[in-house]
Amino acid sequence: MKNKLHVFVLFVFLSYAFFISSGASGNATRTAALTWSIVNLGVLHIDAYQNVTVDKAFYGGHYYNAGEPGVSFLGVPVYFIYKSIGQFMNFPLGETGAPDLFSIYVLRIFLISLPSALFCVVLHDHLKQLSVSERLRYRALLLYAFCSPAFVYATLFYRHQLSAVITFYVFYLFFTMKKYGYETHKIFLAGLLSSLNFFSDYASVIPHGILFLYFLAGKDAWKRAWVYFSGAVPFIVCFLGYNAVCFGNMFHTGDSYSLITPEEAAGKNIFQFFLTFWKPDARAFYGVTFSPYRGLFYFLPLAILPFLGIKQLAGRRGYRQEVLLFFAIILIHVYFVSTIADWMGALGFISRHLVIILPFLISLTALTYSRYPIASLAFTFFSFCSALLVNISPYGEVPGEVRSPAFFVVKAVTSGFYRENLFNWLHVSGHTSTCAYVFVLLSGILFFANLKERKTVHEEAP
Amino acid sequence: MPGNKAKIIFEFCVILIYVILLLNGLTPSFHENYYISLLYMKRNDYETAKKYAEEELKRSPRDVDTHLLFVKYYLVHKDMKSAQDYLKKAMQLDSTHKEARSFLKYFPSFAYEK
Repeated sequence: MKNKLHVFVLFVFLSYAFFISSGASGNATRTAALTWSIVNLGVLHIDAYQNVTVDKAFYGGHYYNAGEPGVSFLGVPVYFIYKSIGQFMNFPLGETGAPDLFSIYVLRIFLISLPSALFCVVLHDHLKQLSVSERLRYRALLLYAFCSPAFVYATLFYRHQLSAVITFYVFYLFFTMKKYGYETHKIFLAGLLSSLNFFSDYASVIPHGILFLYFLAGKDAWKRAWVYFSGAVPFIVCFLGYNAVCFGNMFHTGDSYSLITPEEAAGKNIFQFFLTFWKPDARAFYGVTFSPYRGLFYFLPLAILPFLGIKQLAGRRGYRQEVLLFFAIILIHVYFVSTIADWMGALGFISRHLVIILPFLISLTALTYSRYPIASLAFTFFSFCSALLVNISPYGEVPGEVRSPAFFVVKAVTSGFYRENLFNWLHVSGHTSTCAYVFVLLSGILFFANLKERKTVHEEAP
Repeated sequence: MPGNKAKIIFEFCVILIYVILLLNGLTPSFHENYYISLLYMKRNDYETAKKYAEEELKRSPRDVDTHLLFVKYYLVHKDMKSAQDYLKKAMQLDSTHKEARSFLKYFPSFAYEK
């Protein structure tokens, strides 16, 4: 049983590792630039690498990472080990100031792809706690790993996928504690991960705030809230210290001095960035939900299922509070993203800022999957095709100026343009390697989707 | 079972609505052909690249980037006169465009009207 899950995790990890990050996006290069600066030069500014990225901030005569620095700091031990091994083996690591694109791939593998693959264990265990049948559990894992935009974001060096994994893991900790009793070290870990997530993705404060309320709703949980806050201290200190050192103010972030949007940023503090919450924008709301440009439901029609099966979900005994929590996280976050100026997230596939809600959305989808068999099958097909096509398309994502991403990826792939992959290094053509990849991927998916049912586990019971 | 039939019809209606929405997004809108053209240029297939650039120009005649595709095309074919014409149009649309300005080095005697 366990071996099957291990094989599944390995299969997911290898499927993600197959693709090479282009390293061209501002988000990826700015994150890597800070890691390179810390390890190679021991500084927090990115002056030496400022030509590598467009997404930079300028303050006090120095260039800085214009976004959240959390993932860059997490990348320090990974890059340090990579560099040490490279020096020991005499690999060419690139000059200081030049982008080492292979290190972006290594950072992405360890910081994004690996946690995303390991996350399947968490999702599997959570669904098992809900007495979801084994076959349905694996199908839910396949939906998340290959039919949702998580498939795309686990192969790109963006913070959002890591943020999604951490957020759901915090929920998982709270849920198991509610079920089996509170444990101080788990509450501490939840606080630590929440603050780490904030340090890596400021917008994650909204789902984590809702998750904290869910925690407080537990019996006598408020008495243990101090453990959660003490867990949050280390990364809050890191956040305030980093800002104070780089920008001279604990509440001014890289975004406050961004060179991409200087008028919008203009020295705003972190609290001012969240003030948009009170300014709804109907156009942006359509943009992130149903539009062919960045619409969540357009590229992930599976996400419609929880809304169709809302009655069934509400009637699920012993899980109503969680269903309510999931809908609250999804709806509030979608609303929040539709209020921010950068709702589309420039490069990407759906709005990048919505990746954080995908585990919650897919969990609900799994619980309503068998309710609408025809729609489920059709939407699985469409969701898988859109995620796969974007993944194998030349950029691995869609440029922000492209208003019709579906047309673009179909046209690019049918014209014979593919994303760079590991086999290209062995001089295998893009067409051959991508076809082989799709064949192996489909075989693996069909194998895990049709696993033999174990008799001891009950079919999902509303 | 009438309930089952209704459910199946409902499911088909939901799928149909989605398919209509999907087809709506499968038509070119803005900059799709530009990027396809760019991909062909990277592959040195300049004739196909030009075909897509022409399609993009029909959709967005005031797009500077698309004009620059033609500048590249004619520079590769050493047709300096046509390249200069397209650069002139691009500069008239946006004289501060960074990439457009970077092409000025190929035309020492270049002059344009704002």
